[in-house]
Amino acid sequence: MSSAKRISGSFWLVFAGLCVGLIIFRYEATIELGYFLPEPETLDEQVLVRRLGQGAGSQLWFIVAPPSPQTQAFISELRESGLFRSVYAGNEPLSVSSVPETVWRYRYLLADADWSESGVAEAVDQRLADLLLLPDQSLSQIVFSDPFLVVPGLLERLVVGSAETAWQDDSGRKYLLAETNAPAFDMEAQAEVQLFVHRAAETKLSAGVASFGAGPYGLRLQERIRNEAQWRSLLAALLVMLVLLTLYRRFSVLWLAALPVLAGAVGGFAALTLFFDKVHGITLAFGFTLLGVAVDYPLHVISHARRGAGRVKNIRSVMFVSVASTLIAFAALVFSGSPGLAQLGVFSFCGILVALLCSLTLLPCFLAEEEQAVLDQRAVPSLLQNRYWILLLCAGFAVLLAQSRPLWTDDLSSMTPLPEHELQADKELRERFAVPDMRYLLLAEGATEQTVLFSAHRASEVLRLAGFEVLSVSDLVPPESIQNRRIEQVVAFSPEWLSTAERSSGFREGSFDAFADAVSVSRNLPLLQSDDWQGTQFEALVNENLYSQDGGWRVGLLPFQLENPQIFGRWLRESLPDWRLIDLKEASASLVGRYRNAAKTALLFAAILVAVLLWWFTGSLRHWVWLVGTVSAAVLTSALLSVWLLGTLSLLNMVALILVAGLGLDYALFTSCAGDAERTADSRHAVLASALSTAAAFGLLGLSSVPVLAGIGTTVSIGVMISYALARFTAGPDGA
Amino acid sequence: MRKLLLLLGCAFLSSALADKLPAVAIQSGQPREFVEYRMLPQLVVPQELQGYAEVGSDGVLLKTIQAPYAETVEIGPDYLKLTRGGRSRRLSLNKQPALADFYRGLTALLAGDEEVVNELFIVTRDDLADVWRVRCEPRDEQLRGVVQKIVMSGRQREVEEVLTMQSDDRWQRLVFAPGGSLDVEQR
Repeated sequence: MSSAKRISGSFWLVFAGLCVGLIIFRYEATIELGYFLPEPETLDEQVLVRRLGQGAGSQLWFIVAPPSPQTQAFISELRESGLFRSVYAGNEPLSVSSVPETVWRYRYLLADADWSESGVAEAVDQRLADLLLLPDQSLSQIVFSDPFLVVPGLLERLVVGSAETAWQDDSGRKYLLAETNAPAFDMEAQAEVQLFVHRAAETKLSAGVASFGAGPYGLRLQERIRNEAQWRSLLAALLVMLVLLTLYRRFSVLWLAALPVLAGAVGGFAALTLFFDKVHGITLAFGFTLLGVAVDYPLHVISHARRGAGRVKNIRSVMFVSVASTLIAFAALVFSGSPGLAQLGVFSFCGILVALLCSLTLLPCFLAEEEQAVLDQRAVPSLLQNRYWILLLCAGFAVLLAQSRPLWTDDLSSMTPLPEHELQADKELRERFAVPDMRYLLLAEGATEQTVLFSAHRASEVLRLAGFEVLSVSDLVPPESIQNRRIEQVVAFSPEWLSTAERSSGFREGSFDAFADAVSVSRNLPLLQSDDWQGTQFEALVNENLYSQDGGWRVGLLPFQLENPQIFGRWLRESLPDWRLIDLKEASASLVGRYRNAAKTALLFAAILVAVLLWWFTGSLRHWVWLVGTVSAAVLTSALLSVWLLGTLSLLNMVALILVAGLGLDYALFTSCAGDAERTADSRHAVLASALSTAAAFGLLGLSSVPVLAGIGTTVSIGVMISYALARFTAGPDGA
Repeated sequence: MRKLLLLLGCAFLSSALADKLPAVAIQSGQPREFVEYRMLPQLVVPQELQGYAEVGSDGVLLKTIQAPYAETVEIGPDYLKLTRGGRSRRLSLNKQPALADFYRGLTALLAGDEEVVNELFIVTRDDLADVWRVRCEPRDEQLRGVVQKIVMSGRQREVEEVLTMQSDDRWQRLVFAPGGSLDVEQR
């Protein structure tokens, strides 16, 4: 082994070791969707970003169980598992044991009651009529502990699905609503929940159950991606191997081509751990995809080294320009304004740089001893004479101008990996259980927590008086002034009033002792704080709708199924001017739109920089025009074909188009910077290998049942084929 | 020996007529006055309520209490609508199927709907001379958690009272004013 080879090998070994060390010690993962959104500017956008992926209802599991006499046993098993904060089955009456402990304990600080002597007498009298009417032991327990019935009233406002919900359909299937302790994004915990639910169903019901909600969807998606990844990765690897073996006719090409890509992946990954505290899962998934462009570099080196490793130096300048152009595009992502895309940019930038250096320094050491291949020596036409790209570009612009439907969608839901039927099932279940409308939110701001809580308290009263149903955090954390007023009323209450009321209503003395005890406890309770709901089923509701931001406080109210948001918005402005109606869907469209524009601006600058670089490199207007025209035509055509096939383009398709541009430029550069006939033949060989392997791998991705993956695969595979065709086949045999 | 024969005869008569209600307590569209005594373990003495009851053509039972307080209770297939002090409250019984069955069974018994009564209760009937007694015991365990038995009694074709023994030492005794009953066959 030569000393150069030893030095190069040692360097890359040390480099790989350092990178792996960095990854092991510094890697921390995240899957917060907010990473892929830009810094929110407006209040609406801030609220949206905060709520994404963790809004009210995201921890809900909708479970549909088949008809069975053992349903109650199944429900009990779920409740006792410790995995759920709550499990509602609909067919159970309210009882003291089913009331959340904090609600029961703080009931007289949570709601108003008429604590006067006449109020107590009236309540006892009313409850006598209730008890005589309803032969229900659970009601008796509640009534003798809470003659004002504040708890049922409170729970009716707070618990989803407590309204007129059909908990059983015509075929006898039961609907359960369960809220997990674990957040929806904790896939490991959600998988544990799924396993438990299915085992309990098998044991108790001897049948399977269907489950819906953010948790189950995430698990199904993970499973689907895992299944697809397994066979698609295998198939893609086989196809790429087949392409490379056919074109290079030796096995060593497989590991030689893989080496720089692997080094790039490890280098990019390590760079992420160095520059960022947490690395997003999507960054890694898409980053490895984008790194596919790096497979071109070893292929160029291997193709040109077939006539001797020394010939690799002839293509260095073209490779540098090709890589520099790609790096500029990925650098644009770093400055696009979102941490997620910045991570993607850093990963791809560093990964490609490492892959290039590895291709140029390490590969020739292994290629020096390779035998020279017998090569095609035909005359090489001048590609610059072909004009087909002009036709394609003109046709593309014509279609673009004639296009009536929007090219891009700013709908965040277009980025959801869920299939349409699951989204529809989710929507129907949320309507069935009257889960708060996730689209709208009422928001108010204030200087202190107490200011906003009082505002929420007042707004809830006004809204309910006007006939609107809202889920209000002030029902759980009443403002301190209100709690103090309620405590004063409780303190003023005389037990003698209760005895008198019992006697006059015909009750035995002491029937309401449980109530008297609760009153004594309430007198000495500390004021209820938002922290008191931690670990309860209402924790998410409180955290999501009461928080401090930028030195102030914000409070949210969740309206139930707004029928006419425009009219409601007008009414709100007049009746509660401190409150605003936030349309989260509109906010997401504005956020994504701004994001897309920022990314487009960054990419436009990148394109100008690339154009300047190419001008400097080619030094020829004709060559420059051909390069820019060919790549533009390829990108535009693949974008339009993607719209035709997919319906519309999302941000992820835009990232895919950057990859198309990078690959297209690489093909165009290598096929047009001919030099001698041998070099052109080698370049064409490398480009053919690269295009075939990339189109095969992404074509398989395009057949994925996961819509997002299918979209990216389609765009890239189309783009690669057009890029290759423009760079290679549009030239006539004589270059005409 | 005569007593034994009489008892055997009663038992035969009881089983033979078990599937037949002797009279309809409340005719559709014809209100019938009653006095009802309702007792809870927490009460010193039973509450005495006066009012009238009627069954609508849609099978909904309407009980109007006039004294000692004014209250109207509409008992539908899966709901109760309570009007008291000028305010109405509708209580869904969806979450309490046993309670819904209790009210359905009681309405059916008063309205003479044998099919529903037999579906929910094991019915036995005793006849002695012109006095009869129909005893209904819940078939379902959950329903037994709400009501232990309902005993309707009367004379000839007249329903005189309905005694409902509920769980937890509660009971209700509904005593009808004379007249207003109807033979089941005459419905």
